Amino acid sequence: MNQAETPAIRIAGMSVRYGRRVAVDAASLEVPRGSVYALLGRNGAGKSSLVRCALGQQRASGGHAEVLGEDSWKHRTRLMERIGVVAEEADAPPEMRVHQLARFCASLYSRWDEKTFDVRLGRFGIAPRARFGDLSKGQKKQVSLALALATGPELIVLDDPTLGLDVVARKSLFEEVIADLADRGTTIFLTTHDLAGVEGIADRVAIMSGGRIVLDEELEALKGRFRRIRFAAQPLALEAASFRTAMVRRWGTGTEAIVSNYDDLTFERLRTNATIQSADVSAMSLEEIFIAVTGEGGNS
Amino acid sequence: MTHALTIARRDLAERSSVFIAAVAMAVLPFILVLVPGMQTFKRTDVLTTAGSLLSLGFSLGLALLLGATMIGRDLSEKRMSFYFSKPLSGPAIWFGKLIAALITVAGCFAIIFFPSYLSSPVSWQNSWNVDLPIAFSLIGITTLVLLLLGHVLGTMFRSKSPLLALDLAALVAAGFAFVGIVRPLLVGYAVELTRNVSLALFGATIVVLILGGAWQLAKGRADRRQNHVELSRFLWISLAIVLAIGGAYSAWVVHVGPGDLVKGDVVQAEQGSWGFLFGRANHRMDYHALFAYDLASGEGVRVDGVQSWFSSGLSRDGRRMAYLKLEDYTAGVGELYVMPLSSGAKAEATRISATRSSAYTFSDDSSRLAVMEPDGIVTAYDVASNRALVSAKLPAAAHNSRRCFFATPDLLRVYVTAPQFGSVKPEEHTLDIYELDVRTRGLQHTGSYRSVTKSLQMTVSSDGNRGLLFDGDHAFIIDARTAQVIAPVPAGNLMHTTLLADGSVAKLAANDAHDWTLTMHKPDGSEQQIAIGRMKQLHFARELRGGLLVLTGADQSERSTYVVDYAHGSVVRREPDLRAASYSWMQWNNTDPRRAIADPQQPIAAYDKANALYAWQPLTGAKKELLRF
Repeated sequence: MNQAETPAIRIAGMSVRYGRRVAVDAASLEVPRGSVYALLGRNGAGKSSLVRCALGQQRASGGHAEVLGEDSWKHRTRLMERIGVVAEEADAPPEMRVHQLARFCASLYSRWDEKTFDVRLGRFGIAPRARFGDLSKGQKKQVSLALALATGPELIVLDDPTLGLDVVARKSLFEEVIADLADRGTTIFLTTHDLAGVEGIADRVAIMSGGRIVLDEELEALKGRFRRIRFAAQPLALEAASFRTAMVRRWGTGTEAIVSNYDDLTFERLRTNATIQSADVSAMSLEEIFIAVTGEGGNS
Repeated sequence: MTHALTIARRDLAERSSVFIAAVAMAVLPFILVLVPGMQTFKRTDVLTTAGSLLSLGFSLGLALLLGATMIGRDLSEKRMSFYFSKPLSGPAIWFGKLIAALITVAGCFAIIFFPSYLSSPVSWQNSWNVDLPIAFSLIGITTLVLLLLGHVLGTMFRSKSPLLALDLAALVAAGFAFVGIVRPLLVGYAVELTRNVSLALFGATIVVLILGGAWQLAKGRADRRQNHVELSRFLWISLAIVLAIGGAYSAWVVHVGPGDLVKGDVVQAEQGSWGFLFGRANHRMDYHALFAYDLASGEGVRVDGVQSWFSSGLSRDGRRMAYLKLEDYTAGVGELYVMPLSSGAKAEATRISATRSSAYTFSDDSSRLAVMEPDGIVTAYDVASNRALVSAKLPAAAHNSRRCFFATPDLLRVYVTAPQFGSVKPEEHTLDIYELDVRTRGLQHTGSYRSVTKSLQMTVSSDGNRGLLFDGDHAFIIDARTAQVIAPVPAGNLMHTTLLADGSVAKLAANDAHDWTLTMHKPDGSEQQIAIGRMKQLHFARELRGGLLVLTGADQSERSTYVVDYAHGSVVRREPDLRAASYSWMQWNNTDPRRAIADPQQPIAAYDKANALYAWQPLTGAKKELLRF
C-alpha cells in the first residue's frame, strides 16, 4: 500500500476504559486521505476518548491507531509535525498572550506559516496581545484553530470545533475553513454535534453510540439508503416489501417508518401494493438519521 | 534539548509576576530596619538576617508550590493536551518545565538575597557562619528535593486515585527498607559508610524522581490518572531496585568473615580458647565486625546486630558470651543475648532488658548474670531460666561508675565510685562497696573509702579478696569487701601495676634507656627485681596459673613477648616478633574489676610485625597462624 492509499487515520479494535466504565468499545474506523470525516455521537458516546487515543495523547486499553501510516502512540512526536489539532476544551495556557502562543508554536513547527496565522486571527478579530485566558470560549476555539492551520498540516483533527462558536463563526468554520482545507486536499477528521454544518461538507460520517461505532459510511450513500416512508396500512407491509426499519411509528390506520435500506424499486412495489394507500417517501437530513440511529434505539 | 528550552522559555515568560513579588520581598529588609524598635539591633544584622530568612522562605515555598503545579495543575485542568498536540516529547516537556522551575526559584532567591547580603557580607558571614558556596549548594539541593517532592505529591493527590493508598504503603515500605539497609551498618559503627550509603541512596532517589517525571509524561501523556499510574510504577520499581542494590550491598558488608578483617583485635576469655575477634573489614570503610572466635580452630561465629565489642562480655569460664542487641537506638534500649562459646553455637534471647549504659557480668560458672543500670538498679538473673533472682537499688549518685562481680554464684559484689554526696569539693571521690545476696535478697553496704584526689581507680585480685587501689599518687592494698587499707604499696599506675595470685604486687618500670624491670612486692614485705629487656613500651598481657606472667611490648621496629616465672624470678621465654593482643589481660566490657588468671595451656592471641594473628602457646612457644590482616 503506497502512501496515497494509506488511510489518514486507521483505528482498529480500540477500547478505552476508565476503571470499570467502558468509554470506547472495540471501535474501528478508517479515514481516507483527503476526505472530510465526521465522527458523530451524543455526549459521552466516547468520541473525545477515541480522538485522544488516536492522537497518541492517551493510551488505549486495547487496539491500536495509525495516523498517516504510523503508529500514533509510538511516533506521536514526529507525527504531530504533520497534524493540526483543535481540542474539545481550550487547552492553551491561560496566562499566555496570543502572539506568545504563535511564537511558541513557530519554534516547534518547521512549516509554521506566520501569515496564515495573522490573516486568520485578523479575520476572527482577535487582538494578538490578548491573554488567552481572557478570551471567550468561541475566541479560544478560533485561536486554537488559527494555530492549528498555521502549521500547514496534512491532517487536521477538530474535536467539537463549533463548541462555543456563534452562528456566524460556525457557518464560517464549515463553509470557509473546512471547505477551503478540503479543496487543498487536507484530510479533516472532526467530531461534532453540529450535524447541519457537517452535512454540507463531510464525505464520510461515523456515528458512535455507547462507545461503539454503530455506523460508518459515505455520507451520500447513507443519505441514499435512509428514507422516511408514510402510508395508510399496517407496518407488516414493510416487512413484506423487505425494508429494514430504523424506526416505526403508528397512528390510527397509518404508519410512518424510517427505513435504512431504501431503494426506488422496492418502494414502487410497496406503493403499488393493493392493501396500501397513499404511500409517500421523503429524504432525511443527517440530523434525522442520527436521531434515528442513536436516539430511539433504531437498528441500522 | 531545544524543545525543552522552548518550554522553559515559555514557562518563564508567564512567571513575570513571581519575579515582581521577589523584588518586593527584596525591599522588605530595607523597610524593616526603619521600623521603630529595630534600631536596637545592628542595622547590617537586621538586613542580612531578614534578607536571608525571606529569600530562604520564599524560595523554598516557591519550590514546593511550583513542584506541585508545574505538571499536576495542567493535568488536572486538562491542559496537558496543549503540549501533546505539538511535536514535543514527554521528556522535553518535563525537563523544560523543571528547568524553568529551577531558574525561577534560583532567580527569586538571588533577587531577594543579594541586595541585603551585599549590604554587609561580613555581617552575613558572622551571623550564619557558613561558606557561601556550601550554603548555596545546600539550598540548591533542598530546592530540587522540594520541587520533585511537590511534583510527586501534586501528581498523586490530583489524580484522586485509590492508587494513593498503595503509594503510601510503598512509601512506608521504602522507609523500612532504608532503615533495614543502614541500621546494620550503624550497628557496626560504620558512621562514614552509613553516611556514604545514605548519600548514595539519596542521590539515586533524586535521579529516580527526575527520571520519573520524564517517564510519567512519556507514558502517561495527557491522561491525569495514567500519569499517576506511570509515576508510581516507575518510582516504586526504580526505588525497589535502588533499595535492593543498597540492601545487597549492606548484606555484603555485614556478611563479613574473620578473613576479611584488615585490622582486628582479640579479647580472650580467662579459660578455654574462645574470645571475641573484632575489627574493620576489607573494602567496608569503617564497618566493624564482631565474631565469637576460637583461637584453637580459627572458627569464627559472626555476631550480627550488635554494636561491636562495647556491648559484649565473656564469662570467666570461657563457656558463654553475652551481648546487647539494641532495639531502640534512640533510647539505647535492647535485649541481652547469651551465646554458648562452642562450634556452631547460636545465640539465645534472654528477654532481659538492658540499655547501652548498662553494665553486666557473668558469675564464674556462667550460671548467673548481673545487670547494673545507670539509675543504680542492679539485678541478678539465672541464665538457664532467664529469671530475675534478686533486684536492688543502689543509692543514687550522679556521674558514678559501677563495677561488679560474683564473689560466689549467690553473692554479687558491687563497687561504686562517685563524687561524694553533699561535698563542696567536686574532686572528692568515694568508693562504696555493696553485696547483694541472691538467697536472702538483701543488699548490704560492706565498706567505703574516701578519697581527696581527682582520681580513684581500682582492680581486684583474681580470687576477689584484695583490691589494689590507686588514689592519686598513692596506692594501697585494700580488703576487697570492706575497703579497709591493708598495706600501702609503691605508687604506680593501673597499666603497669597488678595484683598477682600469690598476693604479690608486680610493678613494671623502665629507666631512661627503656630497660624494663619487673619488681615484685611480696606479701612478706620483701622485694625482688627481674630484668626484662629494652623496649619502648611494655605491659602486662596476662597472668598464668603456676606463677607465670606474660608481658608484651613493642618498639617502633621490634616487638617481643616474655614469659616470666615470677615465683623463681626469671624470664623463661622471650618470643621475638610477637605481640600479645591489646586486650588479652581483661574483659573489654570492663565490668568485672578482677584480674584474670589464665590456664597456661590456653593459647594466647598474638601478632607479628606483619600483623598476622597467631594462637601462641606460652609454655612451649608453639604458634599457629590464624589470620593475616
